Amino acid sequence: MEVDQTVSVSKGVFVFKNNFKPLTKLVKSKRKQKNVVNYQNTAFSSNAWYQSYSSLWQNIEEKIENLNNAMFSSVLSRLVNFVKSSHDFDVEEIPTAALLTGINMPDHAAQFKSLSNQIKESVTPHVACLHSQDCQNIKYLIENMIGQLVKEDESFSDEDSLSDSTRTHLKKSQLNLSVLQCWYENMYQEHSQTSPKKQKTKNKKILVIIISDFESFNAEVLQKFILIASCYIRVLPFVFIFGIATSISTLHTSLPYKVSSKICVKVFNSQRSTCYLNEILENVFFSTSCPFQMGGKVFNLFIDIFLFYDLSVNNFIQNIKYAMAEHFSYGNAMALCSFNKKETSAIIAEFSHEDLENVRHLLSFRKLVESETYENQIRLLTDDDYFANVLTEEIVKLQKYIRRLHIFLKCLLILVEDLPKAPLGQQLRDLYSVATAKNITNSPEYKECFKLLGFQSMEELSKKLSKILDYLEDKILFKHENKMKDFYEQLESFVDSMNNFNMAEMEEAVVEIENNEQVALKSLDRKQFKEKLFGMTKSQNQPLNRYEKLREKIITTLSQAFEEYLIEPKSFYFHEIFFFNNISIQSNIIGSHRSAIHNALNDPQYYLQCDCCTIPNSSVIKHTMPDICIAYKLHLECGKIINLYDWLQAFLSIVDPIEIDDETKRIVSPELQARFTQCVAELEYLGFIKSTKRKADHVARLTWGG
Amino acid sequence: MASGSAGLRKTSRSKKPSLKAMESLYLQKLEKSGYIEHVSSDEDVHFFTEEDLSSSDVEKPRLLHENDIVHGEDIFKFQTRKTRDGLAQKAAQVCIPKTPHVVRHKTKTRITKLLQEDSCSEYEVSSEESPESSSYSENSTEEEDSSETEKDESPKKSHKGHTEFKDMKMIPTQAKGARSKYTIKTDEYFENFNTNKVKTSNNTLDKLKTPRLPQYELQKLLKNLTLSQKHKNSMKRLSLVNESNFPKWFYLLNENFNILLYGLGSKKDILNKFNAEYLGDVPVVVINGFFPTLSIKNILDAISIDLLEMKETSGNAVEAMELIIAEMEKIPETHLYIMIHNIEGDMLRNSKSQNIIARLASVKNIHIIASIDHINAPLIWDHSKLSKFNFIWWDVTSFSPYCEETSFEKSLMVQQSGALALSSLKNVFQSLTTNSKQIFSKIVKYQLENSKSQYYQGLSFKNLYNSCKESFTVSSDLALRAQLTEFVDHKMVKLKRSVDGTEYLVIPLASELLHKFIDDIS
Repeated sequence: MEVDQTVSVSKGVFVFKNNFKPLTKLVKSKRKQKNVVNYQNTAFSSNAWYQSYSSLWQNIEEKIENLNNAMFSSVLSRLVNFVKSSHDFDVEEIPTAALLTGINMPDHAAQFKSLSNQIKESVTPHVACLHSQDCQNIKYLIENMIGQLVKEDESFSDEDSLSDSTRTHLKKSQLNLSVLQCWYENMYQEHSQTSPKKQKTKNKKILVIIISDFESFNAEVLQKFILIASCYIRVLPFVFIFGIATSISTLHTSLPYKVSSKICVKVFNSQRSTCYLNEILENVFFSTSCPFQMGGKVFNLFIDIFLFYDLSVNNFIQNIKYAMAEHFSYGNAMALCSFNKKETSAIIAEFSHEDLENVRHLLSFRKLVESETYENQIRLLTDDDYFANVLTEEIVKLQKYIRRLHIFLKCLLILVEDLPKAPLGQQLRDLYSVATAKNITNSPEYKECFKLLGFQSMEELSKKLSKILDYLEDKILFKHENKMKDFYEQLESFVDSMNNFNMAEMEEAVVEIENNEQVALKSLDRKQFKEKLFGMTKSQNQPLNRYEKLREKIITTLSQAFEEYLIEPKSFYFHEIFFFNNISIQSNIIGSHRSAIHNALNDPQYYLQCDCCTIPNSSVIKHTMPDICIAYKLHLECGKIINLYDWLQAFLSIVDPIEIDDETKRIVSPELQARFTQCVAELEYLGFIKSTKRKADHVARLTWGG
Repeated sequence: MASGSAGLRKTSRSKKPSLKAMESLYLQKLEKSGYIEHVSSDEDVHFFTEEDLSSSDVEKPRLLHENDIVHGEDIFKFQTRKTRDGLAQKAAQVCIPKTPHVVRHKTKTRITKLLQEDSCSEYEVSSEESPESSSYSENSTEEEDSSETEKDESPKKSHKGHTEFKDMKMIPTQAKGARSKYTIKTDEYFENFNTNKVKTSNNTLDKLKTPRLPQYELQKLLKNLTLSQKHKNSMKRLSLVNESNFPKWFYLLNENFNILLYGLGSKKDILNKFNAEYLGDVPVVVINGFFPTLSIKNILDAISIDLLEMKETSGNAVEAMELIIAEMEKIPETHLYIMIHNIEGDMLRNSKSQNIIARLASVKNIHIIASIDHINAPLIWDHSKLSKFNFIWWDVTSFSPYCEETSFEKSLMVQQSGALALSSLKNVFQSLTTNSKQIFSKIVKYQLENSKSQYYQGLSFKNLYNSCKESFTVSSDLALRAQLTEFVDHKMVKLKRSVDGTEYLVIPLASELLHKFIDDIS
């Protein structure tokens, strides 16, 4: 395709069909369609890494969807109940549900979709979902709404085999509320004819209008709409659902009294997006179904983007998807990223020499080689079979490690989540980010936590331990993993001894205290009282000491276990196969557009890497630099407006230094003027300057500083 | 939310006393006896404040701003005052080896005072030459040590407008590959805009021999332009590096991400190359976002009529988009690629267009690969649009000139030749009937004769009608009106109604252009 084809002074859009056949023609030859189907995947699908990537992502996507449905269910069921019961009695005002959704707008689509699906399933088929971008004025809004309601009916009427009259296609411009009323009455008339009159009211289905982004609607449009709808409330049973991103007060500010008196608002709170994120992380990405692990840095980046940019779980998931895509695209080595031992060994068995070379290129392979004896080094590098065996072993190690990492992180979380100030954080994700970035057991936060745990009371500790036991019970396969089983039994014995201890010793202590109390009451002498108190603290120490001993034992046991299993992933060979820790993707996720342009203009050498443009600091100009950089740097010297003539002169004296005493006598060669003209045009195009009429031949600066 | 935090507080409080569980148990007993009531209450207060402290701990991003290197020197240094001859000075600093003697002297003495080392001998020797920037770079390391002390000194001097001193305050040279993030410094805004009056000289471009180059000449001149060999090589290398990402882009596009290219330099070539190499046998729509008369409707029509050959389309952009989406969903195995050069172009900047493009982008089998150039371009997207776009950003700085993008004659330095307007006028004119040609040239002639007067309103309809009747070009008032509506539709003529109700006809073109037009016709 030639470049010229997209250059034109009369056209801005160019279509290249490239053998594309429109739908009408395709239908005739459905056989051919199949050839097209395969096309898309051929590019990558032959690669092993792509297969494991796509299967993994499909798996994750499915899980997320299931989780979504489960998560919204509590809010949804309340909303659905509200909708159901809203028209049980005759109403004067329009029943309205205000759903406080939070500012994570991108996530709402999924929420409202499942809401409308549930309402359609359990309450009424008549649901219209309105978006602000389709409803700039009241006409569009009503057309859109009625279009959706009547269209819904078409699919609905097919099943119920209603009269064909409702199926006649209506033009958009014909849609108004009286049409809707006719349609509605027409629809439920037949019911009333066939069935006794009593049933008539029951059969009437509610019309649900969902307005998902309340804030972005034009307030006037909404006011009009509500007023119009309230006129029809007796014939058309409307129910509104408003999705409100900020707070309920927007409803009061955007609707005046005459409007808000027509609706009867009930407020629903939806779940906070941080909870949503935690759920998704713990149930999808930190579970045994997802072998792909994010390294500490990347994970922190994603969490930061979530917490400080958009609070959107949807974007978070997309970021992870991108990280995964990037991770797997390394090559076939990444096909080993799986928890299934049989599968990985099968893949290794099928690996070609190139694939093994791909694995050998991993950074941690070098470490492995260095750690081996000379003889083995050569075998690792040259003998594919030997290397495959080593690789299998290491992969199995990693698989075990990751599974245990998650189990023990969860145990650690149970121990530390409610410590004062929570040094390690209160969420699993906090622990995960630390554990994958460094050796968590060496971190000062971890040590502080265990110091604090050393002060824990017996009840709390035993509560935590039994919680851990509950958790481990589900996770440990008692048949295989001996070490884990040992650990479990050890903890069990601790809890038992603590419980026994509890009964006997505590009672003693209490009795003692009571005795002392009586003594204290009797003696009024201050000195005596002091002594008694002192004695009492001493006597109290005794049962505590015994408990303390046990506590110490428990904590050392736990700490040992954590030290054994919570080591940093980098200490494993081939950890790159499971852990993705390439922070450079940051610039691809949150582009630094302005910074890139600034860098290129200020220090062209950064990109060009030529030896002619080395500058000691950003304010230096060199005549070898690209023209636009010179013009840019000169323009930084100016204030609000720039004199074009002076700018040109300055530019010329850099680009073409001739010794002339009087600048005005310089003859400007057309080439140089053209170069400068192009620079000015480009800077204007980039948005640094614009024309101004404040002074002749001046331009205004749009940025500041320099 | 309130209830949530209350709940949180409650649980943490019940657990806090665990530190001294037994002791508190004991204290409770004592409290009952009425002895040491204050102890327990004190304890309570303590717990409470601790909680408050912990809850008020504000989390801070750990990674996001890690790379933002804030140059202290940039923010805290005294700004050079923007003076009338700031530009000249800057230029002089670069190349003219003559600085006023006074300045040279001051510099020299100050430097010798500060650097009483051998390294400064170079400055002493250079009595004829002022220190050039290149010489600074050579002994940058020695100067680094003195940078602290120098900073205190420099303000006094830099007030006089000698930007040289700035150079000596060492900003350590960037390590290769280390990227400094650009952060917008808000303080500088006030610095720039608080100064009452900006002084610029009164020079105008008219001092030049050719104040403004015409577009065609500019293009001719630029074509002959050659870059230095080094930069040519570097740019070639840059584009090679950028092109090495093609397979990844294609892969990501198929994974339902969209690609956004940014960075200095025209991205047209690289996009076209990508198009040629990877999208050769799939439907592609290429959009020049910088095209001055582009509209979102053009794009939608191109997709729905030219490409999908749909029978029904809608006049309303949103509906047309919905029809396209519905159509595309019917053919999930066909993938449509939309390539937008400058998605932030003038005509696509509005939120309506962006909304529509974003909606298209979110469809599974529509993929968008776009580029941005304007420094504020990312501001056109809000969260919901961004999440629909699902962009993967890519820095493809190429330094290649924006030839085509800037060719649409809006530039400040370019002679406004109006070649476009002229040629379109000619084209329409040629397709007219002889009668209407006569009518139009009547208006043109009248405008050329009279437009010099200050209060030219246009040719009144009545006058035109009379003169047309005289020359037998029209027979009735109505026929003339029909002709005029045709002109108005093609934007050749504007109808204006004056205060007293008479209609005036004006041609919205400069008189030079009209002269040219008349010359060309005759």
